[in-house]
Amino acid sequence: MHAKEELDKEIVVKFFNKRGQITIFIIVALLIVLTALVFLLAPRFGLIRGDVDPNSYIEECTQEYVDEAVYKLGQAGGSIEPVHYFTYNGNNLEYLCYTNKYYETCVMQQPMLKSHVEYEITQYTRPKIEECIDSLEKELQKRGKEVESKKPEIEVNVEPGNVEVSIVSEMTVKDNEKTQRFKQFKVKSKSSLYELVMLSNSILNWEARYGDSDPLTFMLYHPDFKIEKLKQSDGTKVYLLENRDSKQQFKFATRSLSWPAGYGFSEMYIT
Amino acid sequence: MIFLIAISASFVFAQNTSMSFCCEKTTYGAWCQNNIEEKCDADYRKTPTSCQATSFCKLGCCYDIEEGLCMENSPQKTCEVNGGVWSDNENCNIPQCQLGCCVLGDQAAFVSLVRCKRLSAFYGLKTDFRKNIESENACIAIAQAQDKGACVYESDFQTHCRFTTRQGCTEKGNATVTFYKDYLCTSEKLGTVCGPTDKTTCVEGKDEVYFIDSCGNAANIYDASRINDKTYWEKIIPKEESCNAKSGNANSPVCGNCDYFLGGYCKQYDSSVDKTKPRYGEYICKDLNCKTTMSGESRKHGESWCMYDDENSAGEGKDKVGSRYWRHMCVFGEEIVEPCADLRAEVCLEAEVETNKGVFIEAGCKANMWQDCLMQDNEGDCLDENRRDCRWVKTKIASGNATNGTCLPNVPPGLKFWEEGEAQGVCKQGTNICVVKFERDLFGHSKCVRNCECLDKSWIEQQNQMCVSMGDCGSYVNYVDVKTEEG
Repeated sequence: MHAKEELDKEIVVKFFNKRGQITIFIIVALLIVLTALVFLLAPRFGLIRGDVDPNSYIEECTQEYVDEAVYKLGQAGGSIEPVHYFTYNGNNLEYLCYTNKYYETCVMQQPMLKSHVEYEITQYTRPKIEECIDSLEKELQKRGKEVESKKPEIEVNVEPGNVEVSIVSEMTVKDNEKTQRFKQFKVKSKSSLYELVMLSNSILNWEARYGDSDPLTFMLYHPDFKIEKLKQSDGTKVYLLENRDSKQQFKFATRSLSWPAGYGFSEMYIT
Repeated sequence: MIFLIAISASFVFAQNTSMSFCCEKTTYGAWCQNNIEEKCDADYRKTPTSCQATSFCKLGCCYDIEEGLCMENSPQKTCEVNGGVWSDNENCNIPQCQLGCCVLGDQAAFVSLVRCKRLSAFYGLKTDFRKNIESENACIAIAQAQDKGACVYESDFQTHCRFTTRQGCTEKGNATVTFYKDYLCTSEKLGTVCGPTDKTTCVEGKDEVYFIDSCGNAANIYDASRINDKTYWEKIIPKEESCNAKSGNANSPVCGNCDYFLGGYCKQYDSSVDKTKPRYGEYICKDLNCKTTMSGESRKHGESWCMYDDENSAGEGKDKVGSRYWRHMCVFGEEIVEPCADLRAEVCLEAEVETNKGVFIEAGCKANMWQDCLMQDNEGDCLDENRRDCRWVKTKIASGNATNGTCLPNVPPGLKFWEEGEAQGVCKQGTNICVVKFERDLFGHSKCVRNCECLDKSWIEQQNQMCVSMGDCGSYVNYVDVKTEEG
């Protein structure tokens, strides 16, 4: 009996020892994971105060707004808020070439489309870039640094494969050890906006000269892009351009060489 | 008919005079449009004449000096406000816009000189602009004839290599470069650091899948059976001597000799779309043809064809109310639909082209030229396809010009019959009056003696068909087969 009790006690001790080991292993594992998470996420949440790199900070802060601007104007024909537009599927698409007449080819409304697009991105991102610079200054000051900066000048360049934003803002960062000077920040965002705008220009020239364009011919010459042309009942044509790989879109409207319904004797213009 | 034209002409005159102001900018934001005076933006110029007769809205050429682009039909203000240079030539026949051949390595573009400089700068090449080349085809031929080979140079005590054209093989800093025509960078004779790999890539401007070497240079066309063949990594093997040269090689796991015109083109392998995985690398000849289309037939890449809302009632005056013509295209394995103009203002035409690789179908939307059908008084003029799209019927209608038949639209136009306008006037032209004469005998029995065919149901149906042929007139069905009896 005594031996049996001893045996039972041994089994119980062994059992609880095993459970105890497993528990300890689990706790240690959890601690390791938690520590790793803290190290990874703490800088993001400002829990650990390390050095702030102004270049990375501005790039990260600005990139989002540049991408936003590119997306918005891509959905609207090159302007963030188009003034003269055709509404298609809830989107206001700017008329890039337009005539209110029947039987005539259109008048170019945005002949300098690339410059216009650069201007729109500049205007959209300017207040947001200024906010980014302000918040960078505050972050640096929290870390005990002296910061001086001038109001930024912004230049946007739409290039093949990229949208590049140059922010000229002379910034001086001083602390006890050193003084750093930053003259310019550059933000590059991958985009096929340049190619889309160039393709749109070609289409617009055809619309202005001949009153129409052939999407099939353009697609065969530019295999990376899908082009749809949708004729509306008032003579408007909606063009939807899309990069087959990145799915980036550029949409716009034209009205050129339209025909009225019936004999059209009573209509020379759309009203 | 003459009365109708006179009434309509008066509408034209009235509208013309009211839309007679040229607005530099309208209240709705459009530049250089003729409109009523109230629609002209007060902050901009306006004048009571046609825009072409004004100085501020004369159309010209807008030249972008940075990009070298020329935009036609541009007003001066819209051009200059964004930094463009305006010229008084609406078709851009100015020296800055003259095209020539811009050679960019092994590619070419038929563009202006400034555009060529811009493109060359983008690719890091010297500008090579040839203005004596006056056609795009000749330009492309020149580019394809460029010498290609291994551009070898010494750097950091190693022999490096780039696969490029002779033109692109320029000095790198202090390093001397040597160009070896037709050699690949992996050639053992050159002793470079570049070696064969089992990776593949697409090359810009080329249709095929290429091997790449360890330096990232393109080598020969992907051929799985020759990956370990040293001779395949020595010199350039031309396309026609590569694997399956006479085939498109679409979806081939072992051969990347894609032929664009046979429906194959280099694309990255996508497991969700492509059935076959390439044996080596991540690129394959994608099948550009459309296996299944809405017409039920397979189509080749680049083909276009017509479709109608109702196949059985397209043309011959049978088009249903609200129906439309559609142009379908097969492009890169995808079927894309382009609607022709609404209200059947355009119709779709297709034609077969015989090629050495079979029949190729091409289609296009073209204006429906029906307006002067009724005015034709003989069958010859009626059926003149160069001037109009009409058909001849042997039944005469009251408003027709001919005595032995009527010239009617082949595809009746759509009309805005739900609005007040000329739709009623168009349909009225189909009105026909038939006077039936009866004679009564001594016993009071009436007998039809003239135009008795007008009492038949078939005559009524025939006249209704004439109405339907005029446009959206008469008793007929719409494109979802809902019938209207009131006309």
